[in-house]
Amino acid sequence: MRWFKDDAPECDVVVSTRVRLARNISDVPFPSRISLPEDINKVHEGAKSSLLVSPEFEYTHIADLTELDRRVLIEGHIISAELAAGKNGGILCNKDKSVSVMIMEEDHYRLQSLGSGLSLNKTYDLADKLDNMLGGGVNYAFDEKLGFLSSCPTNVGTGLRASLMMHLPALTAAKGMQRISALVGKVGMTVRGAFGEGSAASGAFYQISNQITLGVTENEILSRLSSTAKKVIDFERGTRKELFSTLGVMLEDRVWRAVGLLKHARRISDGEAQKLISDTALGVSLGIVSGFTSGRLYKIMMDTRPATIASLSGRLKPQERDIVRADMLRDIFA
Amino acid sequence: MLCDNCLKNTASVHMTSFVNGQMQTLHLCAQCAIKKKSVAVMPWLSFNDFLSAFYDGEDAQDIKCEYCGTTLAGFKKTGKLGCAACYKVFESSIQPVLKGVHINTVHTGKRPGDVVNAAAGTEERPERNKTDELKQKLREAVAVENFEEAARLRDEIAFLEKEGK
Repeated sequence: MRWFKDDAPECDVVVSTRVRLARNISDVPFPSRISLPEDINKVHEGAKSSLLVSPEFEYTHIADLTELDRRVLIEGHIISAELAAGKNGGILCNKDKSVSVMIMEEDHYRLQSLGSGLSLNKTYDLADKLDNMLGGGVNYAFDEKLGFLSSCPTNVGTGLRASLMMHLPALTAAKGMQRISALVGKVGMTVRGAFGEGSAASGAFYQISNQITLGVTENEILSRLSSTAKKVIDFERGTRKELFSTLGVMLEDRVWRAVGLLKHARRISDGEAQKLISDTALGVSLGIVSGFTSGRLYKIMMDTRPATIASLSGRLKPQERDIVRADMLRDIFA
Repeated sequence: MLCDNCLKNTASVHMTSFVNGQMQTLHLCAQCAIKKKSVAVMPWLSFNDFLSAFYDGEDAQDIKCEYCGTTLAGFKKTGKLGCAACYKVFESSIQPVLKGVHINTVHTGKRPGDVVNAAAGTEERPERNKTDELKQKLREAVAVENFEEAARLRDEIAFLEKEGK
């Protein structure tokens, strides 16, 4: 998580920003129908010849990665589980992995840029630069009327999916997420839990992203998502204050219990770590806990995820990882 | 994405539920979704299945893209097109999906090589000749259903193209 800065804008509510562009080459079948080795090679070579001119980038064939390496990349949102599972995929990314291209995923190319906090414009601009570098070397499948052609018509047009990972503990506790989800849906955006596992949803992390990619310009998509996010940020901040004034010591107790466990527990699962860090971050934003920023806490959460710990410590079993995770968290919070 | 339950198969069922006010999303493979008694299997199991709601009724016969071999039936089943040419071959089936998902059917964003500067809120469209610019205006006019303007632009483009400009 080297790309992650812990003092990013609105980082008390927005963890990170992700921008993804779907692109394909014009005269090669899309990955679901591609069969000729020379076609697959053309897709890989197109990206390599366009981007490896910059010493910043590094190319890796997915087949050359160990299972654990792949899981670390999935956890860091650098590659998808689908790309990791296939045998034709590749990944091209810069040193800190803030900018990357998945090769032969659902589309020939999925360009991605990651940023900290609410940083839609900055993060998009990096992806746009990457898009023009890649587009300079390959002939994109582009239609005057439909824009950039993608494997699934849900991505056609701009091919742009911008998403924000948001931490919404107060709206979750106040049972407001269903309402938020409905409101956000009305303006063409979607909300979903940021982590797959049911237990992890207790950490109250969500992804908000645009659904519409056609008939709107890139700037329109970004500004609509930004306005939506700002509204949700206001709701969340307001609800946090309201919860604190209503619950008082009960909320303080929940926050300090989380800090206590992070400081002293000997085994902490991934889901529990997310929940404890979520509670602590809520405490930080309300001034109950000091010494940490919300951004720092999110970074700790991402650095203590299962595959990352396994890769760092060599401990592969979940129970062993939980001990390593607790050790790491004690060191940080003590 | 792998199934959250068995961690083996690809997840095809995405269940979002609210338990005690907390939104939870489970990504499951079809087998696990059915096995899990707590999960009500929805009539549409995946987003692609859901999309088929936007397709027209029955087609008289199956159409096939000669370039990549994708069939209309295959597209309707998976929601995925096989190549750029499919967009033309299956145009009439894709249009309702576009309207259903995007509301719009005409691209107004960047073209290859355009530089979008989100921080400044600008778009640079370099190396465009007059015809390209008019084509963009035409797309925009069609998008807002300004057909009078669209017809005028169409004629102007035809004139310029005839003159070889």
